[in-house]
Amino acid sequence: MSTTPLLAVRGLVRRYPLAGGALGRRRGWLAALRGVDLDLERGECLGLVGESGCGKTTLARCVLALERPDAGSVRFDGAELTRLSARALRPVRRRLQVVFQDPHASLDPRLRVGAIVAEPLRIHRLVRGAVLRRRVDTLLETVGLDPTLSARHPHALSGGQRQRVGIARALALEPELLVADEPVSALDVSVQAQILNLLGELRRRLGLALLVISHDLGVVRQVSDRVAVMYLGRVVETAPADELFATPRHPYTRALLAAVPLPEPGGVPHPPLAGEPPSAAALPSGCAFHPRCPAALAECRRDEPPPVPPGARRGAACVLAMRQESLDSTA
Amino acid sequence: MTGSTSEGTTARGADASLLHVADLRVGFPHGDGHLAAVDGVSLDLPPGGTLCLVGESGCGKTLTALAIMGLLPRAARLLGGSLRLGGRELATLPERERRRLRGIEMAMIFQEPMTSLNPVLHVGLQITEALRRRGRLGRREARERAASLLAEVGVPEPAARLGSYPHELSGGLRQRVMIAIALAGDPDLLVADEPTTALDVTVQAQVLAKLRELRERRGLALLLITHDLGVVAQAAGRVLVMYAGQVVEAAPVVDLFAAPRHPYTRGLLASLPRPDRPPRALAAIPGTVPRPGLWPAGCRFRDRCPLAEDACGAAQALRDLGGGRALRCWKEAP
Repeated sequence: MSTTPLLAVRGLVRRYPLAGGALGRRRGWLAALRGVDLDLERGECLGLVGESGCGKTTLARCVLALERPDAGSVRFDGAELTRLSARALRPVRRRLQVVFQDPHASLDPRLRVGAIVAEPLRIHRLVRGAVLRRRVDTLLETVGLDPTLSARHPHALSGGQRQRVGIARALALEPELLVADEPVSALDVSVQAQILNLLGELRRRLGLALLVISHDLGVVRQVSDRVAVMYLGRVVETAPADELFATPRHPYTRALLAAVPLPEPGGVPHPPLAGEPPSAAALPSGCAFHPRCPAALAECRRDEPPPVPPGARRGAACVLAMRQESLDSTA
Repeated sequence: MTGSTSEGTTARGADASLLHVADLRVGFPHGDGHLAAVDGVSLDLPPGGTLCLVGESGCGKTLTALAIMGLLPRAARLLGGSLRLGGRELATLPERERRRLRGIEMAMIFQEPMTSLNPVLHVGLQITEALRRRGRLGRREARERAASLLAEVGVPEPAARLGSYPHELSGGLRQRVMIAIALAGDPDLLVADEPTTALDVTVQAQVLAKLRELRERRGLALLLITHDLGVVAQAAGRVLVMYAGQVVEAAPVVDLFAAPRHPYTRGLLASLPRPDRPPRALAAIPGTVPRPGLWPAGCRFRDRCPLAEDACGAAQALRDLGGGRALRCWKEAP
């Protein structure tokens, strides 16, 4: 690929010390990210999926420069975020915004809606006065809210309206990348669809790139061009969304898809996986998925499969899937 | 409201029911009177059967379950209706009697086991405490039975786990421990309120399979409360779709998904993004779920309904359609 991606993550490692030993000494490390590579093109939507503890939120925090990784690199439009000072980060932050899961917790309850949406514009000293007020009205209209709601406090709004306010605030600085961490999981089903449709529409209209993190595979398929599946701190499979859902290659992706209860009777007779993911503080040897993998070989206990090469159109970090791939390509 | 209400949700006669609820009303004090958050819910659950209550936040599904268990929050009032378990009226039973029934005839599990497990007691102690509700039990026997309960709900190394504290367990194991505690009194009815909502999808599949297995093996009746239509589809039995304090549609689970009749049920299904289908513009239901007290007169869904017309302003009865189905919509069931 000739153009640089908007976001390029390489070899990202993040680990947390585990306290609790004698005299408060470390007991060991919790490996939240164990060498993650990701690319995100301009205007693209990448879905990041995995179960709790897989590291998807830590990854998002590193991308947003809310957290410094222990190793690896995060490049946004060529700028290395992991080395920038807080001051040097400010102009980048304008181009990189976030929408959180819980609009209750992420909106200041004392401020009115208008002030919440205006805040980023004010902090960055971009516009004031009547121009600012007009800009806030336009932003509220962009996310499908009546500008008269400006005068309300967040508690007077419904969950869906609050999430729209959160999105309007994120759009205020006209970012190029919007990171959305579980953007609809706190909402009622009938309202989720409104927000998912809005995200799709904003992408088309504003050419936004999106990094959407979700545990909900239906949500991920709905919004993503490409999907990365995470398990215990690694990306285990990445592929264009249609291909990933039609022909998942990693045994974990297959199990994840098979476990989703579909809204039609007769599915899921047997749970596809036994047990739960092991703790990230006590990782198994070899492939981290091998203790739960229905297809594990002896070598999976010993050798960690190579990661999906960065920039690959599709790939799975699994020796079985890799053998299958090479069979397919010679056939 | 017409007399057809209780008929509509009744699959079999009330005589065959383990649990029979008729015209249940639960409210909160409001001004001079009460605001009914559950407004005339009727249901029947046969022994060993499954009944799902599905709906969005504020529809009254959890309050219905809590009223059945006699665990309503302090501010809530039972405004009317009848609750019968095994032919016995619960609504008028003294609190002491009800407490005895909870545990040995009916038990409940919740979404977040951490809030109902005691964080400072071993798992084993919490199970043996529940076992003793059935009668005196020696220490050793209690331990053995607690371990066999943990084995039954699929906890690995059950004897060793008896000494664990809840915080030492994963979310899936905690929910299994909750189920073991619920089963300790050998109840006939298990009420499960969003039992898998806090769990990862692969663990959810395990817990749902376990609940199905327990129902079959123990002949346990299951009242399953969920917001997730996918979870409903995995359960056999019957389903009541609730909206704004009322049942709007009742059907055998298979029939509901084969042919949803109420515009709300159809809207919910159409608004779900699915991992097994290519993306499409989702048919979102406009507006938001109204809070109790802000429900429109007549059909409570009419503000958001694509079929609404003036006549929907009249009160809607839940009409029996035969074949175990009932519907609260005059347009779809004239």
